[in-house]
Amino acid sequence: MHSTTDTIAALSTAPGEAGIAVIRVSGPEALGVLDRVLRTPADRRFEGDWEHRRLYHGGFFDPAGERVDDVMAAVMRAPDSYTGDDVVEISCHGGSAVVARILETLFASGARPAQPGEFTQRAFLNGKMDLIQAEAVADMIHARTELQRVVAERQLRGALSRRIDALADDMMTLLAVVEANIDFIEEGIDALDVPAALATIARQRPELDDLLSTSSLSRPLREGYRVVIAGPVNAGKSSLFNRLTGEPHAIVTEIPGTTRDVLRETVVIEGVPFILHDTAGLRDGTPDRVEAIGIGRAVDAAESADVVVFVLDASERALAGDVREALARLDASRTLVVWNKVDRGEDVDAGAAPRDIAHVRASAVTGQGVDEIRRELLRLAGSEVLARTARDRAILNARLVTLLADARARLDTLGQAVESREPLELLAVQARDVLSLYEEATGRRYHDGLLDVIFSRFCIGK
Amino acid sequence: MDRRFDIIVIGGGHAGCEAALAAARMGMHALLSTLRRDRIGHMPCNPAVGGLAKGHLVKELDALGGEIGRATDRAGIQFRMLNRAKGPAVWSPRAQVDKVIYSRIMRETLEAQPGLTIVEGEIVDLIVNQGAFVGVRFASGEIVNAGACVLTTGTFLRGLMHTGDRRTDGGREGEPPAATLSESLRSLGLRMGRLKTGTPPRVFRDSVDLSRIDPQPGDDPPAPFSYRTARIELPQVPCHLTYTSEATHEVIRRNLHRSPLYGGAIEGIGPRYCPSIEDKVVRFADKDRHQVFIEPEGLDHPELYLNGISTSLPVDVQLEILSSIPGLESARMARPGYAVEYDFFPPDQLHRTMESKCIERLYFAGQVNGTSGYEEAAAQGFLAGVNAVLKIQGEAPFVPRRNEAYLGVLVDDLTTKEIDEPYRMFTSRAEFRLVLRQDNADERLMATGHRFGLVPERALATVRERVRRVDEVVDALGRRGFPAREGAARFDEWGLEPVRHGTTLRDVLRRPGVRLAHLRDLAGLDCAPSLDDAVECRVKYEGYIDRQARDVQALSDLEARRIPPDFAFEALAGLSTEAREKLRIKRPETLGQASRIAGVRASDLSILAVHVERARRTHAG
Repeated sequence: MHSTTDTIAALSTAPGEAGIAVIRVSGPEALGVLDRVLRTPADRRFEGDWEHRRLYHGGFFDPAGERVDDVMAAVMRAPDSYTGDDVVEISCHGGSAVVARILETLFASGARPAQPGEFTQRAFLNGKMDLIQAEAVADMIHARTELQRVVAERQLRGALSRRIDALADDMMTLLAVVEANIDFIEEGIDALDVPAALATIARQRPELDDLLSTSSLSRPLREGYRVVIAGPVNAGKSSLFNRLTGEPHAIVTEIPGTTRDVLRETVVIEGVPFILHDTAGLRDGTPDRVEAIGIGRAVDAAESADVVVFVLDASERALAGDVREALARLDASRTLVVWNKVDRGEDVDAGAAPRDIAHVRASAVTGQGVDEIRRELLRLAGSEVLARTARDRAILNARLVTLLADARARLDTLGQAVESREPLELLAVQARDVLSLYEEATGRRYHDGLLDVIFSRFCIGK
Repeated sequence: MDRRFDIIVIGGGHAGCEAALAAARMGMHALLSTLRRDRIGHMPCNPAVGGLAKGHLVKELDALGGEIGRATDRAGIQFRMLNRAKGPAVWSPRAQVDKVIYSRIMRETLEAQPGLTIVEGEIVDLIVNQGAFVGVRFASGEIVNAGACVLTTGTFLRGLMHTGDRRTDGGREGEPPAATLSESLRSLGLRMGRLKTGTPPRVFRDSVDLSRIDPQPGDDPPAPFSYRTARIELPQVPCHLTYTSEATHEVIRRNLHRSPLYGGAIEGIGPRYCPSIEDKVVRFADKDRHQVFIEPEGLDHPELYLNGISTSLPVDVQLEILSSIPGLESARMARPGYAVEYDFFPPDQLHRTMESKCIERLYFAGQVNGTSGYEEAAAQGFLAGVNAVLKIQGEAPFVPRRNEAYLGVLVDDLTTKEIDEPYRMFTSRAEFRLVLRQDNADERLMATGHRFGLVPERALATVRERVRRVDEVVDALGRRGFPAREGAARFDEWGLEPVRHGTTLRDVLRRPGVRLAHLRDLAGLDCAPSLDDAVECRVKYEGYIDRQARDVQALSDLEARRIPPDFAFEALAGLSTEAREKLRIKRPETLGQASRIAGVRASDLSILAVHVERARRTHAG
């Protein structure tokens, strides 16, 4: 299989200064380009064909014949390469001037700049991976936590694709039986076996349920649990935010109401991502309009949060009425009250907050109690479920959740139609609906093979 | 003979007959050239017309003004509506015909057609000038010019017949191949492929004791295919059904090495839906018997057609097979079965009008395009004939869409799909199957037939009147409530689910198992039972058809986006290798066509869409 596409090249490692950088070239001209730019350490041309899966050491030369750098070039020939095209990966020194000169040379020698994601797109288009695997590549690249890596790796290996392929195969068989019963009725086909059809549907149900059972973990895994830091003005929310994220993102002042927008930052606690949202303080009758908008956002953010960290000033003698009211409205199961500023003394009325809400005594300034806050965040978010699940289960992304939930609903419709003995031509429509959702999930076309399934299963023809 | 015609049709099979008749009836001066006049409208395979999806094609052709339905009615000796137990979308009419009468009727129809000349002779060369067809040369050396040509040469191009190790050149039993024309076409740069098909042995009727075999009667009364047929005239006869035995399979297994199919002598690919009996025995070894459907070749015809045991095994083995089948033990073989290999032109080389992409005004129709079946051939012949006329007249072409007709599915499949076995129509190929019913073919297509001048005004008026009456009944059902009190007992008695008060009759009718007949007396409906099927279809499929309407819209959007004829698919970046290769060869004319090519995925399509749009804008700017 020889690709007739053009040849693309791009820096595959992160830009900036580094020990080495890797530049990837993919396409039918990749080896032709290598002919022009690489010479042996003794400044001679390489003899013979470039060998598959071999590493070549040599000098990289620009079009003017000037030696640019000492490089290693890995050759992977079509179709056994990442993209399915001929691929060359050039490892050079990681300085930005070196990389720039090498790329310029490659572009002058027959390659063009690759678009973001284009290598993976080629791999998908060349049938090296399906849509689910291509998504896993993106997940893998963006994985910041061990759990994300584990889930992406399994998906990249095709474990999830295989499960959906199996569902599709099963549904194709059901559809083939239905279709054979329509088109080849006089040719000795057994009538549609209703119990068998129902058994197929009954097999698909728990499988889809199982795939979907982790769907509530999809967002936490990929984006992180949403943690909103809320509380009355000047309770030290931004200080706590900075303490938890480890960097000064929020402006911290003694002036109440300094934080006007919601600040967001991701932190990883024991492999689990959390997105912390620092919000404007809750305060009635805010005179400043900009701040009023900020408070509105804070209330919204608290409502959509996985965990609300409600920060109170432990050194204040009493809680204001509106603060008590806000505290009472929070869902105890996902709220953590942090008594901040314990380094300044504790004057607060211990019975001021509801007893069933978790409490931590802490100081954003000294760091006291911060580890305990982290542990409480893990507990309240239910992240041990995520950690456990991610180790051995698929966690679908939002796109797959939508598609497979739809397939699940249509499967029920199909089941009812089979049970109520709806005519076969209508069953066929519904079975095709389910199948097309599987097709959309993996990006494969199963239905092209329908007649193949029919002819291989049934002795057709008079 | 004249030296100049508007249209020349090469071949007098089912494609050629429709092409020639349509052209002459649309006012053309047409010539039909055939190797043997007495073989016009011949049925070399089984003596039946219609069946699943094929019956739909016949009804559609009839609505458009084709001849196959009418000829079948006149020659029909048994009519059945298949799939009656299922929903009306997949009912399909089929008829057994007297093949001698059919052929005679078709020949007489052609001979009586004003504007149509029939000539017996062999065309050996096509004359092409600057990429366009201009004329033909006969074996006699005579040259005849024409504005367009429809080529319907069936299995005659380099035809090679096999029975055991005996090979005979020819397209059909007892008829020589058209070898020279095949070479002439190849030299014009057309890509060719090779296919295979087969027939079973025929036996003498007087040697078979049919009284010992299960009869398979037809419907009574028989329902005709054609709106032109008032009633079926010929006497109706049954078919018979028997089965192969374990002894049959033993004979076949023992002689498999003598089969040209398994011996490797046949290189063409045969149809999987019509396997030879040796194929069935090998591939489905666990089946202890296979159907043998015994079809009379005609009312007084001395032979019987043994549907189900198509074979190319040697004659002595065929005889042994016959004697192993219950009821056929003492059967005398009239003619042995054979396999035939033949050249075809992969039809992705055609526009959807059936016109060649590389030779203008040359149209291809029928088995030469890699299809099988009289009905598929007739459909293409009709489309090619009509489009040749429209081209000569400078009118817009006739390209039915997938959601409009099985004819649309047929041409679209032929021009986009891989033909790796003889193409036969199935209802499962039609994604808009619920809309493309045999009972509404006239609603869908008769106005078009009328526009071509092939269907009279009064026939169209009758259809419109029927549609109006169905509308009325459906409306009335939607307005009236179910009489719950009177209905309860009756529904119980019929074993139907009880209905709540206040449900409309239309909702009740939508339920599985409920027929209009159930409601007629209960609700005092005033409508003719002849409309029942049409009303039920409308109501029962309502929700599904609404949903399909959205798919139709999506399809139309894609079909409306035309790809320029000179579009450089090979230069597109970002397409998958497979898709680029397929697109380069098939050169789809719209994005819709591109989307149906196997190997072209959604991602390829979006990339193609962007480039097509860019090309359009560049062109416009």
